[in-house]
Amino acid sequence: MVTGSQKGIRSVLFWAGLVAAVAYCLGPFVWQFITSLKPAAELTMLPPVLPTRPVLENYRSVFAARPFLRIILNSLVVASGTTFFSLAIGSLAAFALARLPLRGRHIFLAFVLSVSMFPPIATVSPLYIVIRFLGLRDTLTALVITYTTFSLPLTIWILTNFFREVPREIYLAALLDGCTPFQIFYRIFLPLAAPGLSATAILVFIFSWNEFLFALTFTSTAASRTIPVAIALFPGVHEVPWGEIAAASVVVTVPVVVLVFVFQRRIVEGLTMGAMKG
Amino acid sequence: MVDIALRGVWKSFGTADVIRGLDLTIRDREFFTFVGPSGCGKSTILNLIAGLEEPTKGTILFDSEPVADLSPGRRDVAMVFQSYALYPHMTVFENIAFPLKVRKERREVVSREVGRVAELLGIGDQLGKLPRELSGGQRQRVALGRAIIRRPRAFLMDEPLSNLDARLRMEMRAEIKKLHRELGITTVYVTHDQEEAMSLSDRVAVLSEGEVRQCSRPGELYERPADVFVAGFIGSPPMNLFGARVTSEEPFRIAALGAVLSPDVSAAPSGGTVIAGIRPEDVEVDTRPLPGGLEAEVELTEPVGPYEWVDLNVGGVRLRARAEAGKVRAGQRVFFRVAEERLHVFDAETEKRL
Repeated sequence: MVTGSQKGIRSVLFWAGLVAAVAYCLGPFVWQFITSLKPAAELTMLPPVLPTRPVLENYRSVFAARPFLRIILNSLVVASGTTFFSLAIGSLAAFALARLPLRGRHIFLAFVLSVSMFPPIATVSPLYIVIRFLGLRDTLTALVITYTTFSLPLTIWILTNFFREVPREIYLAALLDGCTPFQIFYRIFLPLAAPGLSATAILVFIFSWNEFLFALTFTSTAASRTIPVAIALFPGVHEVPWGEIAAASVVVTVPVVVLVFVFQRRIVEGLTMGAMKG
Repeated sequence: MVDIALRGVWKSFGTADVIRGLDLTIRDREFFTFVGPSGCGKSTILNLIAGLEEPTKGTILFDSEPVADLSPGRRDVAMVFQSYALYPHMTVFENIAFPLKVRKERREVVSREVGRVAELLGIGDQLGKLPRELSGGQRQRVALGRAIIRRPRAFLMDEPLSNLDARLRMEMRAEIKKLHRELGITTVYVTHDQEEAMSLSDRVAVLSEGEVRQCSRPGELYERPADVFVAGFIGSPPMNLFGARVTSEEPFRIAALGAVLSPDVSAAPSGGTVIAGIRPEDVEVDTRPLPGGLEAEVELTEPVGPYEWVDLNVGGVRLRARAEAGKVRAGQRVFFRVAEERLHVFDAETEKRL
């Protein structure tokens, strides 16, 4: 029997754990947010203090002194493009792997998964040579292609599992109703896999949005640079503009946070792979 | 409306022969049922007719045209699955409308047809609901609606009533029979429930391990089963089957149950023993002596309302019989009579009817 005080202790521990977890996750973001509002003089003070008067000059200078808007646009294009192509190619592949009677399906899936085990740093040099050969240096296309190849394994895995959960008889019923396999794909399987698609989309988007290594290697001018690289290049020879870095970080994190909140329920469904009743 | 002919159809999965040499014709407008225990290959036959599987050997013909080259969507058959296979993300309306929408029918036509079908099946007020909001019986009707709306050449039904409770099953059975009468579409039905098969069909094929043991009208199956399997499968409760010794060939007499019986046979047995069968409803039981009456001890009784099924112990052989309700008790010694003209005799070797 649980006594009242035992329940009390459990409650306290639970809330303490919750607060600790939230502090750990939100901490850096909150810190950056506070930093971004500090006037220049207070930025490097130790011990760190809250801003005496919050200012917006860091935000202003981020957008005025640098082509930051262009950078954000680049990131948006790359992330959206990657997400779109990953989902398009991945869902078609997943449908074939889940439904069509192919031999060596399991081997193929294992192969696809093994691709994602390559450490990116090992593939950067060869990929750079390929990108240069294709004349795609310093283009957004290079990034979209690269990111798509790296997100496809995860996409295919999640979506294949989703499609597999659709009962076979639904596929057969649609065949008998006169559908071609492609019609079955977009009329029935895609709608039913919507949670999986949402979860995958957000994961791929975040991956593209935050990716640094390939963006740094493949781009050289602001025309195609993405956000992580741009922010990394803020520091000059003599000074590190902490205020601007903080402001830029806040600006680029907000859209992702908003997206996650909007699709939150779908994402949870997708990641826990809710069973479907037919 | 179509004749479906199966000629020499074999189907194997790897080394397992699931369907062996199927040769029969389902006539136009007929309600034809394949019945048999689980795993005997009944669903495979439906899949073969629908085109969802290909026969390993043999041909399938619709109205004398081979259909091997037709994909399932082009064979113009509709299937109702055991699990209904409704599209979970579509409403009842959209589910029923789906086959027409795939064919790109005009919106007014679709609306009208869906309305008509929904009325016919009594689900006119459920059109906006999703499958998960419906009961089993309602889902079944939606599945039927989706099949009917296309006015296909043939209906294929794969144990559609198995997932329903007993009462609903009886109701839906009547509905399906009524629908068949009204629409007159060739129906191929599959079930393991022999009662269902008997009550719904024009003709029944009894399947065991991929082979058709007998294919006739329900009455024929009941009165003249072709072999021991069919005899024991059709009829509820099952026929009593026991060994008997041939005491005389001409006229034919056998010894069983402590008596000498004279059944009607049209062929001679291959050995000195045969398998004899008598249905429980053809064995009379009474506490007073019956003409030609034999004695037995009552083991237990199963009341089913107006009468009782009585398990008798006849010198070690178990015999089920019928008695009026409340007439006999367990442990009692009673008299019973076997209607000789209702005896079935099967060859001990081939198990075929004599």
